[in-house]
Amino acid sequence: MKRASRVFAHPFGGLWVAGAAFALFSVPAWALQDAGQEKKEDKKEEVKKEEKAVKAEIGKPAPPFELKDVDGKTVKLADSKGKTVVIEWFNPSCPFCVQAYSEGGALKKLPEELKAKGIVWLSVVSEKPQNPGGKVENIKTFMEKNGLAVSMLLDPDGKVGKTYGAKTTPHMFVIDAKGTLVYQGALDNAPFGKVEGDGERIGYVEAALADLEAKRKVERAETKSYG
Amino acid sequence: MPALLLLAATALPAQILPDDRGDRLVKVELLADRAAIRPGESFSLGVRLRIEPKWHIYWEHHGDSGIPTRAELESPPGFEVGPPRFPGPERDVAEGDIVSYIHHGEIVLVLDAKAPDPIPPGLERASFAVDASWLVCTEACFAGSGHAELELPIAAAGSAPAPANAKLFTEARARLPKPWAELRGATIEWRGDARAPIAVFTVPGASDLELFPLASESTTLVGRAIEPMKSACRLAATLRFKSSAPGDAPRLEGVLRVRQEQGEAFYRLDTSPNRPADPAGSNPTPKGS
Repeated sequence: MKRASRVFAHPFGGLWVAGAAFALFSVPAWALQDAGQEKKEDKKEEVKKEEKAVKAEIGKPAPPFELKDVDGKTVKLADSKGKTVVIEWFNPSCPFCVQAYSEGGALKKLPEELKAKGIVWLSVVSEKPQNPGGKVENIKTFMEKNGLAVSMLLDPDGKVGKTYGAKTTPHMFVIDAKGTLVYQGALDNAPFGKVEGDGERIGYVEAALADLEAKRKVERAETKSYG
Repeated sequence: MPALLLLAATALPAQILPDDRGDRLVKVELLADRAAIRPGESFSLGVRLRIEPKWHIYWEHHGDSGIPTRAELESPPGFEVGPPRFPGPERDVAEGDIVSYIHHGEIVLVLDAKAPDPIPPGLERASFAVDASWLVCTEACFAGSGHAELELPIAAAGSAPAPANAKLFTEARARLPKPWAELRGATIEWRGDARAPIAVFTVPGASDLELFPLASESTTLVGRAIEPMKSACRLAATLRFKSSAPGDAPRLEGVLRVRQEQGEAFYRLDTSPNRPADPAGSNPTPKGS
């Protein structure tokens, strides 16, 4: 299909995603060479190829970053050295985020509860400032309306989003006190607060933090984010 | 993206976007390929989703962003209804190379059904209902849902069949992925190592291929390369495999879109290094609803 001309995938919608989690490069050449009955000279078009290139990897040091928050203050990941950090990719226009921060939503109290335990919560907006989801005014309105008192960081060129491979809002990351990325993926198994089937809600971030607290290996280190 | 929609969307602060917008952007209808049902008869139900122009919803696996479209059917006691079968999707690459699998326009999810024989006493009409849910997006996204019902009279055993909506169901079935075995001459070759396997699909006579993987916790698509040639087309899918138990093997389930001179068709695949040449491709078995 025709490539959409949008600047960021879903600037309002939640399906944001500023970051290039992919780079157009290198499926290994050998994957195709001699792979079939065709001879190389039969090739008539350039190979269309793409492969993801994300620097944030589970079990590896979380990539450092430095961003301005909505009040213009510089915040570095390194400022939280020695502390457990939760990073949330956020968009004030995302319907999933709106639901999660609404009364009874999964994020209504979580950032505050974690902050009380000494865990750092960073929200990141990887959105162009000209898009509604990236407008500081809209972000601040959301924060005020929902009583959201977190470090709200702006990633207007999506660079940090790309580095982390953030694809949706919300997309959650947990970094342990040693600076190692220990979880990435969905907030929970309940988009819009609804678990599919008859299952119970599993808060993946809370579960990862509980594993860290119990000095266990994070059992579910990766899930597929939604948004 | 149309400027008008962007303007319309940007004019609305996110916080006041009406909640029912997602419901209104997609219309749900429940249809059957019969005007009446006879005892023991196999028939099809169709969930028709009509999506507002320029907007899209998501396939049964959404890809990098979005959430899957769902349809849950209620049927009378004794009727067997299979899972909804989705038509082949489109591949949407958004800024940042976020790959999603989507549907535009109108789609029909087809459900294979079977009436009980005998029909439970007293049942003169069979009532079906569907609850569908989706995320509908253009520049903005809205969650939506819809409900539709269908009532069909029960015909006497031995009465003449009463087909209905023939054109719609013929077209809908043509858009469903076909069994892999119908893709003549196609081969699947597994390469790479256990953690980073590569599945190479070669389809003689194809001009283009595209892969739509289903969601998997263990085997994820990292990238793909497509190489059209004079008399075939190849697609190499680079995968990442996370083993959860000893002896586990990568497994790639999904749909391959094949473009040939005669047009475009989708084929179901379910392959692993242990059985590369024997991907499953049978229709889902109807189960009790």
